[in-house]
Amino acid sequence: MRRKIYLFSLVVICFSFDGVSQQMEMLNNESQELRKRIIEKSNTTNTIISDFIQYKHLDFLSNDIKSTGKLVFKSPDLIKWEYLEPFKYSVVFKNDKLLINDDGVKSKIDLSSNKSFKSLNILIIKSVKGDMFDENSFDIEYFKNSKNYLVRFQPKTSSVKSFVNEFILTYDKVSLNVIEIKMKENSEDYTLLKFINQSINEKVGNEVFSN
Amino acid sequence: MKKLGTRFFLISCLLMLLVSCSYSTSRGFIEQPQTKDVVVNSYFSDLEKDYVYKAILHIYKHRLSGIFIVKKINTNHHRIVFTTEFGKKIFDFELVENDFKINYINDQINKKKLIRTLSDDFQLLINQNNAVMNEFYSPTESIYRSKVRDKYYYHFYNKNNDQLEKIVMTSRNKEMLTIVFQDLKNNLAQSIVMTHDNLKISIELKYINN
Repeated sequence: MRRKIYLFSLVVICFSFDGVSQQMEMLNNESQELRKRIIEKSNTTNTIISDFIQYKHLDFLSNDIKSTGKLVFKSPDLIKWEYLEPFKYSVVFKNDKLLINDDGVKSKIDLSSNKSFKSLNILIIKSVKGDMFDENSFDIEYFKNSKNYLVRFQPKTSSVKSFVNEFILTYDKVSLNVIEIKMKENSEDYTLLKFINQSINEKVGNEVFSN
Repeated sequence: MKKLGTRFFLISCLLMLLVSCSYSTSRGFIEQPQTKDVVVNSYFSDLEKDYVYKAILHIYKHRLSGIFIVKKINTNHHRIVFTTEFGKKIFDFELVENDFKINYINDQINKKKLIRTLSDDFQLLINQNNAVMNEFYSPTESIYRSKVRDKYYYHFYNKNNDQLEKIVMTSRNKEMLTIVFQDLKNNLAQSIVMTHDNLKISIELKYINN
């Protein structure tokens, strides 16, 4: 009996520590220091090449919908977002245009006349670079664990809120690279992007951004 | 004179009957005695399975691509969600018995007439059991007619393998929607095409092995 209580206590303690290690709110001076470091890092990030795994979580499904692909970013505003599995689909944000290639079927959207797509483009660039520290647009909370920093951005404007209720960015504690972006909806549903095999500031030619 | 009047009445009735049956769904088919009371569509019937498709929706002038998800939640209860490739929801519908509930719909497609059309389309797509009213003979297909509210459903089964290959929805006198199921394996349609006859709305689905 005593052994059982001991084991139960151990399990409780382990889970408690796990909970704490996942989300410990940062002190104000600590979070401001982190904010400064991330903005500095973001300002010196000229290119990003990364593989990604996307999980679409819908609460009623048995499994998340998984897709994988490749992201290429070049400062100030070129992005190629390419899904490779289980379908081929890519978009390029370039010169106020969104170039879409849906498994060979190509189309184009003019962003200059489409406000919501334009703000989406800006948000994508900011989230990929990790710098979304605009306090006029977001309520921001800072957390940390042993390996990562986690920053929650809650949109203040209804236009952004209508498609994402909260952005949660996870930064690697050492490199300050964004390693996860979680976009929560009003319900329990969310999209989670995990970035792997990242290369920062490698040379990227403009020809990559054709579609 | 009275005889002539009766004849005229009978001919008129026959003509009306012929006209009302002259749309191509049942044209050339001969009604035969019923061999089934219920027709079954098993393509979205597994409670354990997530049905995930890459989709292209043509809605009037717009082409929307994304992910189309169907999940059977319970008996006569399905959830149908369409998202962009990035995961942004376009619509999220719930079909319980004959009720149609909108959990979310993007402002750009939030139009009453379109929603009513999609509601009928998805009801036809997932409706699992339908009571047979008539059965028709064809050398290659078994054809069954059923009625749901004010619409008629025609289920076409391949006679060789008894698989459901097509459903046509009609009003009293015209075709409205055709659903074609292809690449059929283990109660799963890997390819589905839904086409309207009188509206510029179509849906193409390719199964994703999630």
